[in-house]
Amino acid sequence: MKTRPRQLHAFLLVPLAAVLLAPLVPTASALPRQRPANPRGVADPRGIADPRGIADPRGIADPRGIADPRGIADPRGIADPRGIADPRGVFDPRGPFDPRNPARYMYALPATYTMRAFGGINYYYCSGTYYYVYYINGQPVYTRATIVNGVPTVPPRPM
Amino acid sequence: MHTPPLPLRVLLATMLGLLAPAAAPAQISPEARAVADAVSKKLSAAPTVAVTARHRISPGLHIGAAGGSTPIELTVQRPNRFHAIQNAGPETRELAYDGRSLCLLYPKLGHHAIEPLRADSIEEFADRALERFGFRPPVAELLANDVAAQLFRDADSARVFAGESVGWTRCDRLHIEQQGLTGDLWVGAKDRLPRRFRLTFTDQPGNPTWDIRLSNWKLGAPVDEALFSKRPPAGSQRAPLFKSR
Repeated sequence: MKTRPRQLHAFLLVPLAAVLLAPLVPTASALPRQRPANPRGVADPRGIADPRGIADPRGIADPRGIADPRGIADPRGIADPRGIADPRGVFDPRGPFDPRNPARYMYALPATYTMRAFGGINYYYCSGTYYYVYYINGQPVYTRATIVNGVPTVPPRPM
Repeated sequence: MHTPPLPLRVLLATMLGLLAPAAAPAQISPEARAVADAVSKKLSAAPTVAVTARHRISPGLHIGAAGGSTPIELTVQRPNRFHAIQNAGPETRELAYDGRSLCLLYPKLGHHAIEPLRADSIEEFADRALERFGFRPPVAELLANDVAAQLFRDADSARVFAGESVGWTRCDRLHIEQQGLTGDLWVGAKDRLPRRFRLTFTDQPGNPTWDIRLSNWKLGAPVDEALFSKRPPAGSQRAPLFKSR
């Protein structure tokens, strides 16, 4: 008879402990983006459903969006002028200075440029295109040269 | 169409001129004037000035001649000689001005521009370079012979906020406002040398900034005079220098 109330008391301790410890249990607010290890932070506008994952190197300012078919391993970067419809794939060795669509002018040369002289004038040769340098507003502007009889000629200033 | 006789036209023009609102005088506080004058006095007294500038430009703000973010070493010899070099690997660039001709060099890319340009002072050089070639030399306002006049040119108002810091240096911040632009110049409270210069473009979306940190000031130190008349190496190609249309 003495053991019965003691058993009942021990039985009641279980729900009591559950009630007392409930606030300590992690709550549903621990969604993926609130995890401390998530480097994107809660202000990341991409949302938790973004399939690119936190290791996506393109950053939150990437305008290409999650539907970009090139995938997160695309090394070309957001400044790539070829556009997302480019079918050549990310490992195309021809690079953004593709001769099929060369820039009319640019402010810097790619690392692979070479200098070639024609008629005493130096041109900068990049991926099949010749550029001539002007200084405009204190800055070099490499301007696409037109080819006449197989030789580059000085182009008109672009601006 | 009836035209009033000449005396009447003169009278009308005079009356309209009197009725038109006069340009409001700039609201420059005495403290702001005192800080700018102290900087001006300190820098103009030195026959040579050398300083290192590191700058950061907000994304979206296009300042063509600003180049990359690597430090720029600036050297000035009064009254009108100016040299700047930015060591940036293949994009290393240099500006040399000896009072008679302006030379811009990209020695590692093998091209340069050189044009005659006469000026009797640093401020005149900066104004003429802007007028003819579309750019101002870096921080020319602060290296001018009269810094105060340069800072308050076109200013609508100016005031001072004391007790701010740049790094470990206590500074006074000179805040200058003008149409479409505000400038904040942090000046060392003790040595009166500029430590930071921030331009905020208030007429552009997002109010982008051009933030320049100034360090390693050397006033009156000997300088290599050959810097100002530096010329390109053999084989460099001369390129035309223009202002955009």
